[in-house]
Amino acid sequence: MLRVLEQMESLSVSAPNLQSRRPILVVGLLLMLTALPYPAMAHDGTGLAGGVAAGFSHPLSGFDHMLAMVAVGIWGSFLGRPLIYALPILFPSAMALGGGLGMAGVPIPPVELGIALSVVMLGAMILFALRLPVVPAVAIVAIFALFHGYAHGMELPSAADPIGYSAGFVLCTGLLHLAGIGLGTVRASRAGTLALRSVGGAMAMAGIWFTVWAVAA
Amino acid sequence: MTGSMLPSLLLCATIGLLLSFTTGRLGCFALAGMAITAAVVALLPLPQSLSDAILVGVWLVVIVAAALAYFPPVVAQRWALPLAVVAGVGAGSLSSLSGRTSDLILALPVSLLFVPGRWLVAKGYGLGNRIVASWMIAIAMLSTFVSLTPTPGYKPDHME
Repeated sequence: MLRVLEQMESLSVSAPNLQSRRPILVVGLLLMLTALPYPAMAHDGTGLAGGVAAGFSHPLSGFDHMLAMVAVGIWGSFLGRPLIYALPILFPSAMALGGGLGMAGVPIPPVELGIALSVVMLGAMILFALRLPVVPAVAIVAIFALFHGYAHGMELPSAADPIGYSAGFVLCTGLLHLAGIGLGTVRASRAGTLALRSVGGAMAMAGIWFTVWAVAA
Repeated sequence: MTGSMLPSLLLCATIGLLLSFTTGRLGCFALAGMAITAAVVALLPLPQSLSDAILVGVWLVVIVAAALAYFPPVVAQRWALPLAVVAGVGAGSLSSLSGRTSDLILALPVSLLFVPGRWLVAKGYGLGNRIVASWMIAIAMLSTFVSLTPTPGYKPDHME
């Protein structure tokens, strides 16, 4: 708009007869602008985040959550059967339990710190290719899932259409686990294993940064 | 705006997942039982005061049905028909309470998920069904907790 007005100004210098028509041109341009299509925003939700789409995009918007979910899948692929499928099955239920604790306001240790440490731990497990027995592995993942669920549970009640929201983010969480398992298939080759362990190292580094941030906050 | 669409869809999908661990004949009987029960209950006038209890009941049926997917197929076969009928009562009640028959009409076909589900089980990929069942359990658990928690998301908005 400003550029158009500047051009008109320059035209008015070169063509003095346009100067007298400038107000008419400006009004004409403004009228033309009102004719531009623009979507109506009436009834666009209730001002609260909610619905399947909002829930689905939520785990993707938090880098710490997203890394932890993918790390569960990758670590599962290192652990092999039965944990490769037990962890993605266990995680959503433990996360939902954590969500319940969050909604009920049950106090647990600092949530952000727990989430950050989950990224550090899971990244380190991948980096060192640790193959823990079933019970400790399940316990570690379940405890971290509680923290992730707790964070979601605190936010969930304020969402419009909480059922859609929870469906969306559980679905996204599950797909992130599957993405991690999919990434884990490159473990078949030596180079793939090296690449995955490097990714684990990068995750652990990111987790350390999240931890520092959580402690400082 | 909570609606009955999503709970009905998830309920029917979970029953479909459970039926994928049964025989085709039993699955068809269970589906027919669910559809007939749902259609009958949808015609009954139910008091709105029951809506919270029915919603929690629906989520409990989802949790039980999804959890049965982890048991040996014999257990799923034993409980498939009764659970399908109970699910029909739940889906029909949700439709009756919301006054939207279209929700039920759209949700019931989702239970046909049992057809590809059975194919996956027969091919040895039943694990996929169990993973999806775990998602259903998580959604149902969270929704139950939300139902029991007073939330701004459940306050009627200007469109209700």
